[in-house]
Amino acid sequence: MKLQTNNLLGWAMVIITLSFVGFWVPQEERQLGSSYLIFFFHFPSALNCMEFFLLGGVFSAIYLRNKNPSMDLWAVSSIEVGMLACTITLVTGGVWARAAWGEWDTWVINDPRLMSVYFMWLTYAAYLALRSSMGQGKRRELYCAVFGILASINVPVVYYAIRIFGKENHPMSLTLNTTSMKVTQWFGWASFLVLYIGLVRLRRNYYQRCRQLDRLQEEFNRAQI
Amino acid sequence: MIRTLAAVLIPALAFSWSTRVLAQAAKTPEDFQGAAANNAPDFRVYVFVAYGAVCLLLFLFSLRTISQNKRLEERVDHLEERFAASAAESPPGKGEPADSPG
Repeated sequence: MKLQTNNLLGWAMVIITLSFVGFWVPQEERQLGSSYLIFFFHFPSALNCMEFFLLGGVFSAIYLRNKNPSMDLWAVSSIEVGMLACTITLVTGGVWARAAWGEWDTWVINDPRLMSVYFMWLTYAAYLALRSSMGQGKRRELYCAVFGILASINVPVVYYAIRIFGKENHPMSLTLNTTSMKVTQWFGWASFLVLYIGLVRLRRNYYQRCRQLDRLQEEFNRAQI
Repeated sequence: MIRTLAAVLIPALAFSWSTRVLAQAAKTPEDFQGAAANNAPDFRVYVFVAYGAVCLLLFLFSLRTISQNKRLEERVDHLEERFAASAAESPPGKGEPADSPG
């Protein structure tokens, strides 16, 4: 699929999701009232951020195996988009928590899921900091690949945090009763997935160009033009 | 001035934060559900503001990446053109590195 088509399709699907939320799904839920509507953005971001972090780990592992620099670019692009999705998850989660529990941030001690997501966000922020603090080259690619694999170990911990640690303010999963809710939930996930894939491809193109520019400038310096 | 401000603010913030954390830790899931049941105003406005903010963030991120890409593409093209032009103009051997014996 062409990059532009990918992005346009993603945005069109997000708009359809928004219209489902506005006009199709029930505007109130029995327990959570109208605040549950934020779920249709919170859930896709949460699931997609875990997918893209895992993908970053997979690309890093492939890089370590093949030493193909292109895999390093795919890894950092996936992780950047994962960070964006994770930030959206934390912010929308905060808004929802304020509505449902009366607190913006119950992550500190009370909730293993929120705490582990916060930890994951910090880990990948450290990945990006590490990357930007090192000059381009094999050493940076190698360090980032190892860090990317180690950081991705936390992703299943986030997913199973409630089963592992057992304290549940945050539900393991939310049961949605009507068909419209279920369709909107999974359509929302698919639409953000398409949009994020487009963003990963955009970021990958950007890094590819950066590399191309560095190579050209190196050639220039060598030829002393 | 900044040090004095920091010396006052940091302990104050740390104290207020730790008090909140301890207060939160003392709450049970039932407390949270109770709080939710007692005040359930219409949150639709907040939800749609949050949706708008998310879309804006994603849109700006896309725009920024596209404009960065475009700028880089122009620079790459410009460099390639200059490189090709100077290689065509210069006599053979001038494009070699300066420290090469030839």
